[in-house]
Amino acid sequence: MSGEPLLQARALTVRLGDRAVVEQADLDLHAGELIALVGPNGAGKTTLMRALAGLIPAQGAITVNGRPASALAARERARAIAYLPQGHAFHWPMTAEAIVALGRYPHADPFSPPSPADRDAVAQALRSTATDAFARRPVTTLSGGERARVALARALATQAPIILADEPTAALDARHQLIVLQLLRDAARSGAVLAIIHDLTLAARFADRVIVMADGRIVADAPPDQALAPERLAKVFGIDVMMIDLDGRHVPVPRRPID
Amino acid sequence: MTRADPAGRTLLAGLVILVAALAVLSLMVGPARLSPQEAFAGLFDGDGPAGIIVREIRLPRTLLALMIGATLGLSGAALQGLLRNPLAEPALFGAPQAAAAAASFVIAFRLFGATSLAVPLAGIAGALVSIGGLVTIAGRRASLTVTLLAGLALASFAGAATALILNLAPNPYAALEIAFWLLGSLEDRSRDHLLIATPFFIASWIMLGLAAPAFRALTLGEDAAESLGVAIERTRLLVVVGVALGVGAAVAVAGAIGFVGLVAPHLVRRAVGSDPARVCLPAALAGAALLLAADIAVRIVPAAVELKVGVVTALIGVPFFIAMIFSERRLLDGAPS
Repeated sequence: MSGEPLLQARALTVRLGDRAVVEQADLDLHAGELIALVGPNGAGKTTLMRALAGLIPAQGAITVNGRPASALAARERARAIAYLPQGHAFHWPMTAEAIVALGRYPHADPFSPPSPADRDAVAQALRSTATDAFARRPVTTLSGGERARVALARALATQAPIILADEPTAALDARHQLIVLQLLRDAARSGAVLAIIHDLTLAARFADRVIVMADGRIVADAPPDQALAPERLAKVFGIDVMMIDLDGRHVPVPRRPID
Repeated sequence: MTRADPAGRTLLAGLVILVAALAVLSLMVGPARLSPQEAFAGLFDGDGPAGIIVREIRLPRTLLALMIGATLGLSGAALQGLLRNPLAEPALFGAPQAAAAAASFVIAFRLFGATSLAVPLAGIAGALVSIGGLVTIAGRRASLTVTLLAGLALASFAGAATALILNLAPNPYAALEIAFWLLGSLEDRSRDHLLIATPFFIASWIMLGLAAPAFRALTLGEDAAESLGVAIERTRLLVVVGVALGVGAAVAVAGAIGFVGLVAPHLVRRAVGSDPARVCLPAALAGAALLLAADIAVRIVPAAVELKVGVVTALIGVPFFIAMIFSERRLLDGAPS
């Protein structure tokens, strides 16, 4: 962790009605980091992420590359932050390639044809996610795992230094969960990735740092073995975990709910 | 990113030729049949009967069919793009019905004189209220069910309002005039109708054209589209106002003509790879071709009374709509929105 953070939030508060869904959140994302955002359902993870992406209004300060986010035009912000929402929805049976090309939307005038840089970025995103094999197939005919990779390729094609991914591994089989997290790990080499992950074992296995949320507040922001210590997981998630060693990391495996 | 692919170009070229051919045919058919040569000659010179028939009677009718068809096809494609739903169509959301209610109010009570701008303006206002109401009621994350139910409610309400106006019409002639006008027809439309409606159509095309690129990003859902830099509120406003201007003006000059907006985009969607932005231009051309063809058909079919073109489009469009529901049943059942 060196230099200025790519994305910084200070005292970020999001209210829906009179309820604070996110309260006084501080966080920094540095280049080269994959950060897991974990927390029980309803802790405010998605709301925090949407506020960071600029999709909902929030109090407090967000800076992108040292500049206040509010000073960025929508397309400028879109070039800096790629946001991957939950569910990988595609409403039209467009080809995978056409979907991935949408990642270039903030780079070009939408009425003009794609530039060589656009084409390269799309080709690279298709290659790195191994989606080039079915690039010409309509996305509606793809399996869940294939769609997740197409959605990720779309976010990668933007070549934004910051990627925010909301449950990128949800509803995927074990193999695709590992593939997607490895792709995010690779993406973090050239930028910062913040991913909401429900599987605590995978979060500890892949993340450089884990941010734990509970009731709208950030209760831990530390390396995985500290953030996901058994005592904290008991308190925040109400679960008993077993710690095991995996690839040189100390990772929790959920065992049973605590009454 | 528009890709100028050969398939798309062939489609556009084919549609342009089809529309041009239908437009010529439309100048030829009527009580007095004209040959293509006579129609062309009448278009450009001559004070003879052919010239008067072509320029004064058939040209306004042909141009109106072309522009109204294009506007309805484009409006359908735009609503489908905004709502990410292939079943969206102005008539399912009560826009023509609301425009008809507002316009018949003006006609029934002879407000501001019948040929003035009042009828189209009332039509546009009615369409604006209904489409704006639909988008507001359905909300940001509109599900198919909520959107269609809201449209059904608005269409029924507009229908009830029209019935009330017919009920309260000051004399039976006014009521009959409205009833016939509601069926949708291009018969005996003059250059005045053309001049009144054209600026609204052009404004509508510009607004919907500006909104079109956003439809492609919207295939990822509103959040992802907004994170790509799409101005969602602006897009929504352009579509609402664009559809209202076009449909309102169309209804005001030609009565209620439904289902062109549903059918036209569907016919050309596969040729553009289901791209909701690229479908817009071919959908407009297909809409123009459909309405021109329907308006030619009503003049050719032998009948004591000329068929109303709105009746024909509904008779063709509704079974088509049912077939679409049938074929997409599985998709619609499983789709989250």
